[in-house]
Amino acid sequence: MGNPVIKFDHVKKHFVKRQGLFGKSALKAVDNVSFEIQQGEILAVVGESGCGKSTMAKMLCKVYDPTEGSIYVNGTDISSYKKNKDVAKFRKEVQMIFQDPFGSLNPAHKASYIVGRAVELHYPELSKAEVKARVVELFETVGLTPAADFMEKHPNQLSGGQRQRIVIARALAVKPSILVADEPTSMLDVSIGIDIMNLMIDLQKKEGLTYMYITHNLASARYMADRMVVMYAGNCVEQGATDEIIAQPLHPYTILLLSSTPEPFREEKIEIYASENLPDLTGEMNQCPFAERCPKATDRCRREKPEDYRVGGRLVKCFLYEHAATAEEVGIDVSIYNKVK
Amino acid sequence: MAEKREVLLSVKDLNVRYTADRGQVQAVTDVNFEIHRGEFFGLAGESGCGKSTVAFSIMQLLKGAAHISGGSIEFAGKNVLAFTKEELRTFRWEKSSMVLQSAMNNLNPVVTIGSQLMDAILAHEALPKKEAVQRAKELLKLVNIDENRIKAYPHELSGGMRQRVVIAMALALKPDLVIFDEPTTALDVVVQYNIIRRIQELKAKMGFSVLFITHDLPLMLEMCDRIAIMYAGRMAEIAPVGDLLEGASHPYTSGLLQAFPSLVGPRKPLKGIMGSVPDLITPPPGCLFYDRCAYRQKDCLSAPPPLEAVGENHTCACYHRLKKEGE
Amino acid sequence: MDKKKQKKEKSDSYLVLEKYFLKNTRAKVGVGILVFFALVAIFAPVIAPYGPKDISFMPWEKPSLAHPLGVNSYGQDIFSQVVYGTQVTMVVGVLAGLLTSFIGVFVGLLAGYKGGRTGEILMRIVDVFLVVPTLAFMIVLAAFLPSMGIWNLVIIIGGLNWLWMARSIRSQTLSEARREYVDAAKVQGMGTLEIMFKEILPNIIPVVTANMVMVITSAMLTEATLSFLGLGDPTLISWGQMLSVAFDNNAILYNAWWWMLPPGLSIATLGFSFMLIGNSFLDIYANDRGGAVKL
Repeated sequence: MGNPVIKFDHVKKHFVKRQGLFGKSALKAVDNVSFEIQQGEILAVVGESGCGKSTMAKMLCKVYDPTEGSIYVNGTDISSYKKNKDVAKFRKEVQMIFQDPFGSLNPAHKASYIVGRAVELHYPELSKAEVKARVVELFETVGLTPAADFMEKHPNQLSGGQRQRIVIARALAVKPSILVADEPTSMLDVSIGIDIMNLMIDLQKKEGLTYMYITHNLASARYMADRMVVMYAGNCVEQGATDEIIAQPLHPYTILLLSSTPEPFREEKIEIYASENLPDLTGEMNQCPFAERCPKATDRCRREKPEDYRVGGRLVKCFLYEHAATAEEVGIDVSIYNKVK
Repeated sequence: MAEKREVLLSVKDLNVRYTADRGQVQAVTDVNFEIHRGEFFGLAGESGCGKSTVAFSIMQLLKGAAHISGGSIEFAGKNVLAFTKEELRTFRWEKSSMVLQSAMNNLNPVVTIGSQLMDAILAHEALPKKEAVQRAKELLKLVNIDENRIKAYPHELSGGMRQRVVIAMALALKPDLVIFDEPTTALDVVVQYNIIRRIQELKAKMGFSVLFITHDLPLMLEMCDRIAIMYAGRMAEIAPVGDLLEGASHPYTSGLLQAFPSLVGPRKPLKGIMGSVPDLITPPPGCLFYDRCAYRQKDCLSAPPPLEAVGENHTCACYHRLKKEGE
Repeated sequence: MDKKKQKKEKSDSYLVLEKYFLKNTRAKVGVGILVFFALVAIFAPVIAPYGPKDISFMPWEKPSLAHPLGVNSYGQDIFSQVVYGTQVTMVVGVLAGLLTSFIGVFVGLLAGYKGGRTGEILMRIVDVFLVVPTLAFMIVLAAFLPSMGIWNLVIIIGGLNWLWMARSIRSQTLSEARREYVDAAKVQGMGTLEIMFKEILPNIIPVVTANMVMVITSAMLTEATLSFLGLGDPTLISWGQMLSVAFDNNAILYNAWWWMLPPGLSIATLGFSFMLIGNSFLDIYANDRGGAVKL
């Protein structure tokens, strides 16, 4: 592997929750996650609500600091950026696209101010006219043409898709090399959302951007990403090339997630049932977090926490793959996931 | 599909208007469709297309600024719009019931789910308490919740379980029609999967018809018998799922189908539908999809295209519908 | 179609004006009353037939054409006093209100947005002051100060009235700070002050305005109270001062309603106008946010 642009190294994030009068407990939102993202790559982080994926996005953007472990961007631990000047330099590298285009734009400002302010903040040497020219350029980059039609509008005068384009323009204003996108299309209609995804892919190709793309939707992860990380209860349970994971899921949770995602063009309907009980994230976790729901769980899964096992190009956090190299070997038939109607 | 099935619900030329500051919003215009007994019927469309308004019209639950300005809704041959208060009361819940997206959050937090279920039963049937408890337990079992949870309060249950309690309540009086308005949108996929399978099993067992409303087309294609696609308050296409999977007739439906990334088959670039929905206060003449349509022609602007039959059980509102190979 | 376009082209400030004022009967009535009193204050020398302190008439004279509101026990024209009293009441009310708002907004925003230790300390200070009975404290302060000119009044009233406002602004800021655009501003690299004043403040302006209006009302009432208790500047003619003098001179015994009612009603009417404006703004704002806003 080449030089990773982003590296999560045994990252943990625990939120301290008060319980009762004196008690305290730590909610383990992210528990020991490691992965890397290469230059110019789109990495999808996939999981259901509460799996810790948004927390990871916010840590990468320095909204929170990790409780343990380090996040490296271009080889530097980002928690070492403490002074305002250093943080500002970091902000020029990493920007974020938010989930809710209705909440992430300040309703009090015009579109041109929102994007223009981002330019000013990081390029204070630019004159007013230069800032404006840059804003027009950014509007055009994200497909808001002619820019003049959108500049003077307030967010509430724009549609969801147009707002999300403004959010992207604002993120691009500082010329970042990394974009963190937290479910950027989940609040949009599909016919609009797919164009936002296309815009992001376009930008990756043209500007060489690197993405961490957070989603709950496996199909959109497949559409966007080269590689993906599947999260469950704060743990990264499987990571590898997107196509491989979707064609041949290995971890029982990935299999459950894939089976549950509606896909009308699959040849056979998949019948699977799993309990919906999520593990308690506050306690000490001395077992596989998925053990209670897993059809393949053994006693060992309830006693010990599995580590990552390498299977081909993938890492799978499951004892099944301690010695096995394919799903067939452990008695799971995954052929049904590829058959097209 | 050849045999004629009994029509349970028939919506004819339904028009719904909202009064807004700037004028009348034409939320639903000339909507026609029928649901057969025992059918799993889907109503799809993007936000603001009027799909929920149609459901609320059927249940006579439109509020405030909205009113039905024309058309008829017939349920088992009776005009719903002409119901008296008493008839309406039995119609809602006993004949038809509705599960909303946020319903799971609308359970009373200080009352056990058991008594909420019993309230639903006792409001319509005079039963001794013991029997009502028994019925409540049966209902819980029906939706796969342990009957011992009857004394549980809503906050003790997960979101998916609460939504299933709501479904149990909707089924309490064995209605003929159950309307689901985005029942799983707020839930995770695994939970959604379980709920959808449960609905399908119950439907097979109890024989009710389903009107399922969602914006999630893949989900709908997987579970429905027939799907209606709405756009800007009008019906664009009504087709059996099999026909849609082979290719849609209406350019909008086709655009929607092509906007969903898939988990199978080769990865191919997709594209969205450019533009936005026209202003429904002063809609332009002709086809409302004109601005965004890749197949538009001059005559599309003459008048809104009517729904016309293009196949068995398949209608489409387009002057230049997309033809399948060999047609 | 053209007409609709034009409608859309309306500037944003006009839209705000339309929403909060032109379509808002309560605010219009409130502002109307306010403008009326402001005009009275500005043109007092023109409107008042006599000087406020002229002692040149028959004491206890009942209202007549020459003295529309009669004469007090010293032989001063009450109508002229009410007119001039408007000046003092409004100046003290508005200045003290502005001072209060300034402190209240700053403390509220800082405590709400910064949170953590800073917020905690600020709010505990507020709590401590809230426990102290403000009026009693003011009375003590007023008694200790050598003179009680208009500026001292403004500072005492303004300096002690901001507590509730700070709390209200804080709770609104807390809910605003949870919105994603604040996270976005942080990721952009905006500083704390910019986020507080340029990002959050514009979104809570209606709450600030409503609070300010309440605070001005309460400042006017406090001024009246202090004057009534004899702690104001005895050389100033204000509505509270008039009531105080009337009370001291047993106006009730003489059944001199023309001396007590006009200043009292003026206070009530002016206060009412501010309430109309503030509450109607708040209702519109709360409606937009789909929930109640605490003041």
